[in-house]
Amino acid sequence: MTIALKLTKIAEKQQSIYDAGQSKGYDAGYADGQAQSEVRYKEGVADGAVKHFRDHHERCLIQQNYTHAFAGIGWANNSNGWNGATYIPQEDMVFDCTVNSSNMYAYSKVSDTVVPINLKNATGNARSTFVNATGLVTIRKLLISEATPGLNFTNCTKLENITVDGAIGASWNLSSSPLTKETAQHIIDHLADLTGTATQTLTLKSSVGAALTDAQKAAITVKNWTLTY
Amino acid sequence: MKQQTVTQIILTAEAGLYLTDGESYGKTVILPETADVSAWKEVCESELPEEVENYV
Repeated sequence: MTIALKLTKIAEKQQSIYDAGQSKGYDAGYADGQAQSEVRYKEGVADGAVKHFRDHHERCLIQQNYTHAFAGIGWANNSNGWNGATYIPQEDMVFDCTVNSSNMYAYSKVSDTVVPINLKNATGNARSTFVNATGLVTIRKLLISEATPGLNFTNCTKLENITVDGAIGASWNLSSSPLTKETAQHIIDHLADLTGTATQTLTLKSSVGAALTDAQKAAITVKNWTLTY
Repeated sequence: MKQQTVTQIILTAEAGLYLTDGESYGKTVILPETADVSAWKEVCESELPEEVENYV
């Protein structure tokens, strides 16, 4: 065998090793198939979730467009997307939803957002980020500002826990959500003081609102918020 | 010691009705003192919006 032929064989072998490794990386849950991936997903759910994320990796992480990202029906009506997948990102990262986050979790079976969701610079479409998020129980960390549009959590029928980082400056509709007492207090604590500006409305599930103390209700209205339940 | 007097306006819907300002809905509405009460009115259950928004 000539040296040139040997080099060719080695190159072919290297490529096949690389391809095999990349394929293994996909199977293991690396979004780009390589160890340098920003996020890794729990082994065993790679069937649809990883492929979906891999296919839309650029759209999410680079273009900051998360519309339908974890929805039951993903982009291009891909019913094998995130639906049914429990995902566990392994790296410290943030989903920066500056461009679009409408229907991000609609009808998803994802129960825990896990990584922070940044809506600080979000536009109006952020209002439906959590609409119909029927599987969500926990929103681990929601980064917001007073400029963040009001959020509609309609049909988030399992949502119990929300951790907010920032002040809530516009109406929130949590009429479907069985929030824990701790989360209800946490939300009250993070309502922006709207004194001197137009009142905004915090809508709670009837059982959650009815369980608030007079002091909690006063803490809401003293900041010029309206409470509905 | 900090002392505050908080004045609220509490609206309660009649049986079978809901209160709305056109955007928010509920059986009970607790408003800050300076809010516009006239924005709220009672509606029948049949006038409530669909809970599930269009998924597109």
